[in-house]
Amino acid sequence: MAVECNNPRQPKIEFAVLLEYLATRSDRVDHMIQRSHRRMADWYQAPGPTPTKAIRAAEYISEAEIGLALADQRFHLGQLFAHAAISFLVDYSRNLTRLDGSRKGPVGLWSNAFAIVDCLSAGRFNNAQILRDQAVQLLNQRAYKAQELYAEDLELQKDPENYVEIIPQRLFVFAHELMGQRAGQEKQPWEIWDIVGDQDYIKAARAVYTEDMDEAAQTLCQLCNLHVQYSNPFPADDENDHLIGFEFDTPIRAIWPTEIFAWLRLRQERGLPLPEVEHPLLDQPLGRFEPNIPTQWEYKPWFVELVQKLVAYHPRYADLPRMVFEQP
Amino acid sequence: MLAQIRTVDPPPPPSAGDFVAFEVKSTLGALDNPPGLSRAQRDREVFVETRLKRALEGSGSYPALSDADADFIEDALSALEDSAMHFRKIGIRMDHSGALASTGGKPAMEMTAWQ
Repeated sequence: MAVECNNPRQPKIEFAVLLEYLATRSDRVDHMIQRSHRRMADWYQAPGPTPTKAIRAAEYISEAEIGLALADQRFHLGQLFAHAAISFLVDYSRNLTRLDGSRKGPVGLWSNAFAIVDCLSAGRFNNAQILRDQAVQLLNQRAYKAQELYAEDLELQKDPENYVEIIPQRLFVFAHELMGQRAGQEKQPWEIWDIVGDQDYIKAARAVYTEDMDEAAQTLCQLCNLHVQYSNPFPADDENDHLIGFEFDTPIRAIWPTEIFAWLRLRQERGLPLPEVEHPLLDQPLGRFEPNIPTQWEYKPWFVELVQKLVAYHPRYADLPRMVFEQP
Repeated sequence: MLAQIRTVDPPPPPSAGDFVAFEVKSTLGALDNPPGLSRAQRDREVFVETRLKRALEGSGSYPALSDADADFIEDALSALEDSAMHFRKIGIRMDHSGALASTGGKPAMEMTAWQ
């Protein structure tokens, strides 16, 4: 029987409103998708020193196509799964560039977290593990800019004269604590890595394999409430983006809780019972957990082409077809 | 003021084609200990990236872009991601009359510069 959550928070956008919003933008988005395809083709013609141009285009197309499919009412679950494959490719490629060039990436933690939870939620466990390993390497090399900033903030905070507001990482620590639990690690060395994490998310991730069904249900309810709390479907100004605490800052992400699916998928992988809860976030079309992982993956032709072009582009992408198509 | 700014390590002058942008932050009402920059503003690459993305998506008050402008911003975003763009940040503290009282009456502005 489904457990009713205490004080469930209402999602900040309703599914019907999301569809309406996406429909008003579909012409523009369609145009942007065409443009992204053109940019990808441009990169095929004249590859630069990095594949960033093509990767950025792929990232845009993947997210935009989900929006278009939703707007046209031809949305199906296969698309979410295909999106996970592209998420993997995008983050894998970025991490490779970063590891190879030993540059400090301007972004990192946030996109890595989304890529990991997307892969986990779609059952692409090997892909998630690869991203996790890359991220750990980057964390150990202190290659994330955020690590420097946190270290600075913590130092500043020691002086009571300074007002320092530290905004913790949420999805990032959640994703990596989940991967840690999966590998049998009790906890992650956040202090050593100079990352400040949100305790609620850390606690929820560490409870992923709990056998106490009450605790599991409570954790699930809390994850739903946290998702709503840290979502903002229409970021409009400085106060509304992931740098200052909102993790889910697009209309689709606001009601598409892939981190919750990731949590459930890990339990499912171990054969643990899944808690059933009643929460408005899960009670709408994008909030339903799909228990069956597809045996046959649907890949878009442009995505297959991109993988092939990357393999031809540089030997370090040689393993990519195996990772993406054979052993996800 | 310009003369004093020149006493800080001068950055190389912008070349034709360089993209130059300013963001001014007011710290109203805090004379002795003005608040620092928010996290979003301190991480300058990400700060610039979010603005470029908003412009690209036409969110908020950003106007819709022509294809050429959108391509330009896309290229800028790619360059940003490849660390091919460089930023400088200069902090200047003064009070609201512009009288530089925040330095305790000293005739010079308190300035910090980061490469």
